[in-house]
Parts: sequence; C-alpha cells; structure tokens
Amino acid sequence: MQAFDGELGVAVARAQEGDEAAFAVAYRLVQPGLLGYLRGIVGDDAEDVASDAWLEIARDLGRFKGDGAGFRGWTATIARHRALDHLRRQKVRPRATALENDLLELPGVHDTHDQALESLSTTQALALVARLPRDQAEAVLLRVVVGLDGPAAARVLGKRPGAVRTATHRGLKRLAQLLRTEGVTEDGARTLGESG
Amino acid sequence: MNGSGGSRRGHGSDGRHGDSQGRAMPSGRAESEMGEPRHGGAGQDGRHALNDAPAPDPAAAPAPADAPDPAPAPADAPDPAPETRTPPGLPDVGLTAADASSVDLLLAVAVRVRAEVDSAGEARALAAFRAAREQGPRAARTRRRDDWRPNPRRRVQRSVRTTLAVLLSSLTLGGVAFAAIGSATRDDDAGPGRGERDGRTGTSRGAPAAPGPSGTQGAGSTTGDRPASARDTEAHCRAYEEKAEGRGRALDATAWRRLADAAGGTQKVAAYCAARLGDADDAGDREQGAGESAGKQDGTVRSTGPDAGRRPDGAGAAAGSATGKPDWAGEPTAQGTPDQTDRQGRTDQGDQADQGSRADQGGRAEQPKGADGSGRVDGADRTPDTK
Repeated sequence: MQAFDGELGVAVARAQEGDEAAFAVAYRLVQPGLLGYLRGIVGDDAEDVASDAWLEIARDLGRFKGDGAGFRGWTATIARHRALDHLRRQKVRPRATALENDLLELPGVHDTHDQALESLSTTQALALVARLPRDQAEAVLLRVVVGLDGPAAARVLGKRPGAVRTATHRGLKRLAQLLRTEGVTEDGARTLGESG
Repeated sequence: MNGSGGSRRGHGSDGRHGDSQGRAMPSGRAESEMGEPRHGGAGQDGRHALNDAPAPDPAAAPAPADAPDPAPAPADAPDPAPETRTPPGLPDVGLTAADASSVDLLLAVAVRVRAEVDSAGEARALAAFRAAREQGPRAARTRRRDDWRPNPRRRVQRSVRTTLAVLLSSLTLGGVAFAAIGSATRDDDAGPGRGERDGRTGTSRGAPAAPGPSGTQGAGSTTGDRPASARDTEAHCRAYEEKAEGRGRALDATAWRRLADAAGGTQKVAAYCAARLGDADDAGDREQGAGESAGKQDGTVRSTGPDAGRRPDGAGAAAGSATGKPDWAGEPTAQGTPDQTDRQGRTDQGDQADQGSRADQGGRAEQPKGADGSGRVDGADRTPDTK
C-alpha cells in the first residue's frame, strides 16, 4: 500500500536474522508514522512512548510474521498498547493543554490553502486532530499518517472495518471543518507569526 | 537545546523542511519523504512549536523556487517519488474535495514529523535490538497477534467461520425437522408409507435435537392465534392419536376439552378423530402434489404438538424447513418413506441451499405463506367437514 513496503519487508526479514543495519532501515521507515500517530494520542510524550514501543518491538522481533505492511500494522499495535498504558498511568491528562497556546497562531482566513498549511506547525495540526473524538483521531492517524489500509487499521484498533471506515470518514470531515472554521481568527495571530 | 536544535535545523534540514512545505501536501505522500524524523528529545514542549513556526516561514519564502523535486532524503534512506494528492489508500473512505484538505493537513503532520533527525531515538532502538539479539535466538513462538501475513490466512479463517455458521444453522434446522416430522404425518388411516413414517417420527420425536425447537414451539404456541378452529381440532386429534398410541406428549387439558367438545363427548373422540384425520390426509396429499409451497404448508397444517394448530407460523417455519430436509437431516425417515418424503425432498431440494444459509429469512418467509396457505387449505378442504 505504501511506497516502501517492499523495502521494509526485506529489512525486517534481515533484521530478524540479526542484521543491525537492516533494523536501522526498518526503524527509519516506520518511526515517522508511529510518531505522528502517537502525537495524536498522547501528545508531547510521543517520543517516550515510542521508545517504549521500540523496546518491545526489538524484543519481540522474532515473533513477527508478515510483510512490510504487516510490520507497520504490528508496530502500530504495539505503539498503541504502550500509548494506552501511558494514558492510564497519566490518569487522563488532557492531551491538548500544552498545545492550546499554539492555537492562537493559526493562520488567518485570507491565507491561501497552502500558506495556511505551511504556517501551521505540527503541533498545531495535531492540536486539531486532538480535538476529534478519540476513535476518529486514531482512525484518521492510522490511515493517513501511519499509512495502514482499512483492514489493518481495523485490526490495530480492534474494531470492524466498517466502523473504522466510518470513523475515518467522519474524522476527516470534521478535521476539514475545523480547518475552515479555525481559519477565521484575529489578525493579531498572524502578526505574531510574521514577527516570529 | 531547543535553540541548538533549531539552528541545526536551520542548516540543511530546514531547507529541506521548507522544500517539503513548499510543495507540501498536494504532492508529497507523507512517508515518501523519508526525511529525518522529528528529533526525539526530552525537551519537547509547546515552545517547540514556536521554533517551528518562524523557521519555516522565512525558509518557505525563498525555498519554493528551489523545490521542484521531491524532498532530498538522507543518503542511506530511499528517495521518495512524488505522489498524487489523494493518498492511494483512502478511496474507500469517499472523501469530497473539501475533506481532502484535512488529508493534506495530516500529510503535513507526517511530513513535518519526518523533518528532523531522530538520532537519539534510533540509537536507543538499535541498542534494544542488540540487547535482544544478545539474549540469543530463543524459540519465540508467533502469537496470533504477531501474525500479520497477508490475506490467505484471514481468508481461511473467514471461510472456516462461515462454514461453521452454516453447519450450525443447518443442524439446528435439522433438529427442528426432527421435531416437526413427528406430527407432520400422523394418521392411522394412512397408507403404508405414512404408517412407516409415523413409526419413525415417533422415535424421531424423542431425538435430542428435537426438544429445543419443540420446546420453543410449544412455549410460543400457547399464545398463538386461534381463528381456524378446524385446524385446531385436527391438530388436537393428531395429538390424541399420538397419546393413544403411547408415543406423543399427553394432550393437555385445554386441548383435550376442546376435542371432546368438538367430538360431542369424550367417548366419541376416537371415532371423531379417525374420521377427521382421514379427510385431512387426503386433502393434504392433494396439496402436496400441487407444489413445493403447498407441500410446506401441508407440513404446516400437520404440525406437531397439541397446540400446533394455533401456531402455523412457527411450525410452518419448522416444518417447512423440516420437510425440506428429511433426506440428509433425518435419515431414517427418508429411507422408510420413499414416496412422500422423496417428493417433498425433491420439491424442496432446490431450496436446500437457501434454507441452509438463510434459515431465518426462510423461516420468516414461510410464516406468512404457511399461515395463508394453511388457511387456504383448511378453508378449501376442511371447512365442509367442520361446518
């Protein structure tokens, strides 16, 4: 499904044999998607959760069976478990607290589409995603950021493919709506950005 | 550390960062950037975003002209290819053009996430890998959740599940068939074929599979409708016959009383029933010859139990399916009664698959047919008798 699933599959197979360089390749291919997904769930602690996840991934690498796309789904599942554990430990710390300040910097309405997206930081973008309901946020992140297909995303989330499809659709629609409405902010916000 | 990270980004990766943004979302599939992942550090907080926001702006202004190509990636990572606007994997979600903006947004997220070197995180992961490797190649079994092989495994599972479901439903219907067959053809005046079938149905009624469906039938039938008194009486007669022959359930008090009223006295019940059932079976034969649906309705009419007459619906469903399945669901019945059963079996063969896989629908579909048909059968053939 993704551009480098073939390379990823080869790298994983070699890493299972003990090839360290192959493991590094697999890491680079997978980590960005995992990080983006984790940011949407746990926010700022994404790197810590990702580290925990990679510990488990490295430890259980021998158990994995599958191709590159399967590896993405497998690692996403592990990452999700770690994220849920993290959330439980944190006792429902609100994801968006550290991120809300950045919402003031959202671009104004007369920015073009691309300009608006450019001036958005990752954190701001994820702040928008954080405002989705959790199941929609997860579905959207898994489908778009991690790059899983429908059945794989359903398996990671433990839901039926139809439910995941619905959640993805609704999440994207709501995200688009948020983008449109959040674009209408005070000009002062843009000034801040320009002067920064 | 944030400052140093920012300046580091200002060198090479920031240009790349700007490049990726310049073309950004429309052309860049996120993972295809393959750039450096975001720097993993302990100092991540909201202020990081401030570093993000100013840096891309000045970089983005000069950068777009320089960014016709896909984002340059680290030498050891594969170069991405530019991709279309909509991610190839999302057509099934049915996005409108407006929603594509949200997809772009998320791609932007992924893009930026990749824009930094995650050297610390990678080092940690490699260390974990080495440590796990040191532990030796223990025989790690692949648990179910570790098995992510593509489709064939899942297809097999799904087909197994489907097969099991079909088997279970057909077994259930077979049990119901056993229950229904008993009363479907109860008649002491019947020909040899029927008599054999009676004998077999008597034993089959005791089949363990029968109690469940029969129980539900009996339970549901007490609240059934009673417009067709003729049907009731005939069913009562059948139950009486069964009781007299010592095989069936004892006629309950209400049914017995009704039968006695219809017959004009408890002593006359036997003779009354004999007369009634003789006519009923003839009519039933004609109906069977008429066609499969009639055959099912006949089964409905002759449904089992003392209260069956009041329950054409459930019994129709059961008997309709039951008469359709005597061949392989009820072996003894099929063998002994070639003419009747085979005819029913053949007429219903066409529906076997349908009934098996759509048992509920078939049952429900049978109900109105059964009810109407029984009414018709009764009205046409039995009304003269009872009236």
